Amino acid sequence: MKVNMDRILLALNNIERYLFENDYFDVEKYVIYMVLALNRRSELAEVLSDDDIEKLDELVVELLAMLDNIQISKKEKKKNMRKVPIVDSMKDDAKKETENKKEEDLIIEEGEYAKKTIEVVSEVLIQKLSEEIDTEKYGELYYIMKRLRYVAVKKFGEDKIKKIEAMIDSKLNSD
Amino acid sequence: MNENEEAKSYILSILMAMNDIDRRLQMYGFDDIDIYVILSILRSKKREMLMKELGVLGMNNLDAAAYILDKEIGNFFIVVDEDDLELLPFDDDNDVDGDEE
Repeated sequence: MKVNMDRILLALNNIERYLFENDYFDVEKYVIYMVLALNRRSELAEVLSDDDIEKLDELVVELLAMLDNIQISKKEKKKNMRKVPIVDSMKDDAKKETENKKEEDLIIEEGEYAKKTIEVVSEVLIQKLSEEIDTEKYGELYYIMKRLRYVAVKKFGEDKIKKIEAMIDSKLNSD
Repeated sequence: MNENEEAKSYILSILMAMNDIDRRLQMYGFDDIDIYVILSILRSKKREMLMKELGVLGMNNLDAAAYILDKEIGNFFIVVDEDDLELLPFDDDNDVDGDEE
């Protein structure tokens, strides 16, 4: 399998720019890329063998490393930044990382896990909101938050989430 | 606009971006494998960037949201009306620094 790297670089840049110019947040960009990639992967899986799909994923990892080197060499000239290697792939690395955390004895009690999840996401959303006060953006963030709550309720149950929300409300009121 | 309409409008804007990107890549002559590679690279780069901001737990939630969206939207390429899409021109600037963010 061969790809034209120059054309791929051009496409990467143009897609990023297109979404940036149309005011999409990074979280939305990520979701867009992920859903499109999942969709395209399903289509390819119908015509390619498992081996071919695996080779394709390996190619993606190689291209990521190449792309990282290109970007780092450019940035080094500008800022002398430290290189951060990319070892990502289309496999569900989030799941792996969670499992690794467990192996490292970072076992968090379930309620505490839910609390931390909501706190982390809330902080990021509030930070983004404070950077750009905009009713339209607020609507978008509110919707993302609703979806995250839906996921959290599915995982931990309504009662636990309500308790956590009450704790957060209490903290916000005291602030 | 009530909450339900806001949600629909928001999802539609995401779907339109997805549809637009997919069409643009096809218009520019990329085949299915190229498109998969491009999207995978973009996803991985964005994931790496967001991981620093959201952490593992935040990313897990975001992945879950993406899977839900993927499952819920089904055949979104058919659902979105092409007349609703405004194609903006791709430019030829080959700067891949991504410094605009």
